[in-house]
Amino acid sequence: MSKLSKSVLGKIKKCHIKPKPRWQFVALRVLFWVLFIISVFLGSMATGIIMSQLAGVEWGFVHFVGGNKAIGFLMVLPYIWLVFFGLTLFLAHKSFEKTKKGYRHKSITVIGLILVLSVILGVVSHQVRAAHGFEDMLRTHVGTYDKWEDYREGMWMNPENGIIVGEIIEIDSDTTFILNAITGEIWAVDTAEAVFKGCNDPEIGMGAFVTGESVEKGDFDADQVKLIGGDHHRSPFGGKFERKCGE
Amino acid sequence: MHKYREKTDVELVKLALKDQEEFAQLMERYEEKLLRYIRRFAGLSQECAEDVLQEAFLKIYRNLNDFDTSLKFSSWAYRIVHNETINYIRKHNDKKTVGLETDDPDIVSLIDILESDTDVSGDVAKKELSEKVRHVLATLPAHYREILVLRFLEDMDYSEISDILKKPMGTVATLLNRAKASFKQLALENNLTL
Repeated sequence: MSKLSKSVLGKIKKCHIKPKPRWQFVALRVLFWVLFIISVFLGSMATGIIMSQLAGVEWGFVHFVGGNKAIGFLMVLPYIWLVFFGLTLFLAHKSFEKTKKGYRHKSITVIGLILVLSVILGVVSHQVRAAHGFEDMLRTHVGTYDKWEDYREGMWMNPENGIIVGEIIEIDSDTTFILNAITGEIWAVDTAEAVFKGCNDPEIGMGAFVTGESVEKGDFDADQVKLIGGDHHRSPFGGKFERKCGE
Repeated sequence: MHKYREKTDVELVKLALKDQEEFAQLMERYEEKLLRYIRRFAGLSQECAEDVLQEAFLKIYRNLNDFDTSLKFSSWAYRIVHNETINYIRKHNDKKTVGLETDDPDIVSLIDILESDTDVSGDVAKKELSEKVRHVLATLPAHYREILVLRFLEDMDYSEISDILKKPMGTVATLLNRAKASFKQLALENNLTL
């Protein structure tokens, strides 16, 4: 036996070194797979929420939010979820890399597959409203997130720039309805000269994007009205309005 | 001793798990190869390389249950030695690693080993050229030097290198090509014709 082998064996005996039990290694491998699955699941939820939020944006009105289309577009993007999705992607990739033979696959392939998987599952979660449920749960239980989403919704409320958004709570006449804005203010909206986009039959419980001019506090002369609400609308206003346009 | 020669690595691992004395057989089988690898890869002295290998063997023993029989034991052992060597270099901040051009008699440089085992010495018979080859290899970045050592001196295939370096085979191929190109470039700069 060589000097080195003797020395190693001597140390093993002297320090009572023993091979670690197999279950520890198995547990570690399982842990990485679990982490991978959780990351992909959360990533798909994030993708579902991103889809919902983007689908809920009234793109024709974003220039009222930011002053111009480019800034408006940048302002309404769901950054929290985009960043969160990036993190889950990173975590999923790292977890996969740590699995038994994960290193054999190229990062670009792994990331690509996780991305595709997340998008597919995201579409499914969006369709079956699992992403909505997940977000609702967050809004209910995570105050900070709820506040953040309120802030994002509040961006759409910009009477100085000519846009107000809220729920129709009263129909005053054929040309006037009362809007409970998302910030809680009450506005009387005159639609006499307004163009209705989509359906043109405002009813109590519907949401409305209204562009035009604030003539005095509480009064708004509309030039465009888009009635919103219903299942296909999510953030920034999803679930807020009970009635769907056309119902 | 003869009875162990017939046994596969997997069988020896199983024996070592039952009886720690049997681990000596695995060590005996790989000691020389792994020592050579450490010295070639990191340019450590014999003494330092033995220190690294001792730690690596202890780690191998502790982690015997983690050995995946679908891989070669050698790849797994090389992987642990690779990590241990890198840890050693980091910890000692190159204090005990040597430039390959050193003439310190106590230190066997990487190129000395390379020359003793490959055709390089045959091709570059003259001392002057030998010095240049030595210099070229010494100036190669460690990751290039390691992959050249694994492929051409340890004679490992891409799959084994992939398992040792924990990189995809495509990346191994790319790294190898870059290492060869880098070696050739440095050889040219040193007026070395191979």
